[in-house]
Amino acid sequence: MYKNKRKILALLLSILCVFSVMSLTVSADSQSYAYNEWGKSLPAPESYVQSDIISGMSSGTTEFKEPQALYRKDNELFVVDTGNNRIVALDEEYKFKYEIAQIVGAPDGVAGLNKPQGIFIDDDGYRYICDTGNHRILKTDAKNNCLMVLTKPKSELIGDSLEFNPTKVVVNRSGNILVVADGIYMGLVNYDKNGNFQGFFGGNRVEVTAEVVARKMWRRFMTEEQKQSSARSLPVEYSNITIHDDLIYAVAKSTTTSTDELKKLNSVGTNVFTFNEEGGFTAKNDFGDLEKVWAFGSKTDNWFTAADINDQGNIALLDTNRGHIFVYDEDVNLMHIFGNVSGGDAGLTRPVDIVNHGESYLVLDQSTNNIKLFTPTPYAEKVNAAIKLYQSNDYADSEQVWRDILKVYSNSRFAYLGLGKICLQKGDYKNACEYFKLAKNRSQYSIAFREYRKELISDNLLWIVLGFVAVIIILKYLIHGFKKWMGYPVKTRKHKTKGA
Amino acid sequence: MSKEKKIREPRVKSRKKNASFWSFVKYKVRTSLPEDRKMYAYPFRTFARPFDTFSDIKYENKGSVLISLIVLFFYFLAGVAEYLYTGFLFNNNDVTQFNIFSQMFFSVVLVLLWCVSNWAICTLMDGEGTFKMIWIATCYSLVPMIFGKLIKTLLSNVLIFQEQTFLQLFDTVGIVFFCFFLFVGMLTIHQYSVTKTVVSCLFTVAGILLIIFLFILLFSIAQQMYGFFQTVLIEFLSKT
Repeated sequence: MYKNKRKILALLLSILCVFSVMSLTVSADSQSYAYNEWGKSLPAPESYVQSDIISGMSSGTTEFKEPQALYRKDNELFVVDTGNNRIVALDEEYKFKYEIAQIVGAPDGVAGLNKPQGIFIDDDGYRYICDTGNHRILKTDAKNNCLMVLTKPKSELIGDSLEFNPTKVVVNRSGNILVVADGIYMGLVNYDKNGNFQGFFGGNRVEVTAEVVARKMWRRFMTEEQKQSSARSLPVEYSNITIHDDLIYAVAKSTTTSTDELKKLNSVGTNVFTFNEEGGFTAKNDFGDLEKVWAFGSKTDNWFTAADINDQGNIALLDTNRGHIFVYDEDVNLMHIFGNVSGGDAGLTRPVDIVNHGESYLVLDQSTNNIKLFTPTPYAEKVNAAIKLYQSNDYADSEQVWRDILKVYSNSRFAYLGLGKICLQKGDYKNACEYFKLAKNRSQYSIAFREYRKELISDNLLWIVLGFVAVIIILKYLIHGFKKWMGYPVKTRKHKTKGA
Repeated sequence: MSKEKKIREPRVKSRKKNASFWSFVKYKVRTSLPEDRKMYAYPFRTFARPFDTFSDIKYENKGSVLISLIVLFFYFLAGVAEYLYTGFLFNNNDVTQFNIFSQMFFSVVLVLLWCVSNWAICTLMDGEGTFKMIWIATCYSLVPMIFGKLIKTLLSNVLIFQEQTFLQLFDTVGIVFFCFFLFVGMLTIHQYSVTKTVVSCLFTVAGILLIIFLFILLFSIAQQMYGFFQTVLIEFLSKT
């Protein structure tokens, strides 16, 4: 009896141990995931967790109403409070600082903002506000004095009936103003320093699907009238833009296509994203979720509404459809996926914008009218730190960090890649090969394997040669025996001498 | 020869005693073993004398269905080995998602489709070949593909990215030899001219596509029928 009790106690204790370890690594109800080499989702440790909610009330002003955008410049956080026709500035502690609602000296005589949707502040401190309800973009100084008003561009490509609704604006180093406007699919509206319309910038392509091809085929046989009334395949519009290091990151407004979900545009408007095809875990021109869902006859993909690039160069992409945030490193390797859709304040219902603040991310939720603060877990902090070390080629210091990450998440390909590079630097090619294999990094594996193979050949040259000779002799005898068994005349020395 | 006959007789008797399924299979295998052991060399003899080999198969009955099945089985195994054991550097398949049925499709079913389609086309085009001959010729010409795949699989474990041309070389050589043997086989089996062989091969490919299309159509119709009867049944059950 006593013995049995002890056994049961031991069993219970071991179960307890297992569960306590599990709760340390992956909490039971966490839905965090990551993608493996083949684009299949697998469970992963939680990287960021929602730790705080910032609402209008908590920051010391009236509640936000359908806010549309977040913007952070230095230590000020701007909330574009569209429903209340104002832009609220918060300080570092997310407390109310001031608000922008009235503009002094606008040439068109309209002082109040009407449903603003975007704000940008350049390095000289000038503010650019998308005053969407008034169909204009305002350039003001820090004291809300209007300096310039940009209105609908005059272009043959834009019909007279189209209302000009600018939603997002950025300004690059040379002073060009780039605007996202509703219904303009030709690209970004480009104004120069003085507000003159310059044309369109970085238009999207049409994704070639079976439908598009069929439509193009049919159009060949149509008359001009039929062509005018039939649907056209148009490129998708942009939904948001952001600027980092004078490169513009533009997010496409689409749920059904996968091309050009995010573009990194240089000063002439060409996409300069480079995808490392052999690396394995990079986004192969497809951001966000890799598993496609077909619903009601069309492909449903992520619907990205915002992108954010932090000081490290990490790209965060916000998917409003499924409430996920995808964080990529500089080389477009997927680092973290976090966030979830759930009603109310527990998750993201209709997130519209994201900005980074130090290590954490602020996500603006339009339906709950507040900002959700996501802070990194110890795991994510370690990954971020290790990648920082890795990017600065400081491999030696990062070794311990990688090993710590592997303790928590043994599938971390970043960790294996880091360890592999350390081994490669040390000259430990055998282990480097193994780590690169686990990291699924073929190009690095090739480099390590080349050296490892050299070592193997020089160490075992005798055995390799002997093995070759043995294989050839065995094959010869096998073929010989096979021929004999079949009854073919087999040439042997005995036969030859006898025959001769 | 006489020795073999002596061995075979008691086996036939034993089959009669307990006529189970397996004894029937054993009996079938034994009786279909090639009478002339030299016939085992015919799949390899194509390398030396392709035209002679296929005309021997046609006129002197030197082809064996059993040997062709063995060759086909090895081709299937080579495909599996290529999928699973190609070196990490060159393996673009997810090993955990290995599906033996898709492998089977790409070896056995494709060969079967080719034979059926070719037989159907060439019967209309005055080809002399029977289905058995077409099957044997097709399977025998798979041998270079087996070698190509095996060598490629072995080499892929010791080569690096810069040397992948060698892999492509073995792959291409295997395919070229296969196509050549298949061409010669069809030409000899059906007693066609060169142009007629080319045309019949093109028609055969079109025929394969047609068969696949018909199968897909059949499946979708069957699915719809199933759905229809299901709804009728549900309606019926809920009404009564």
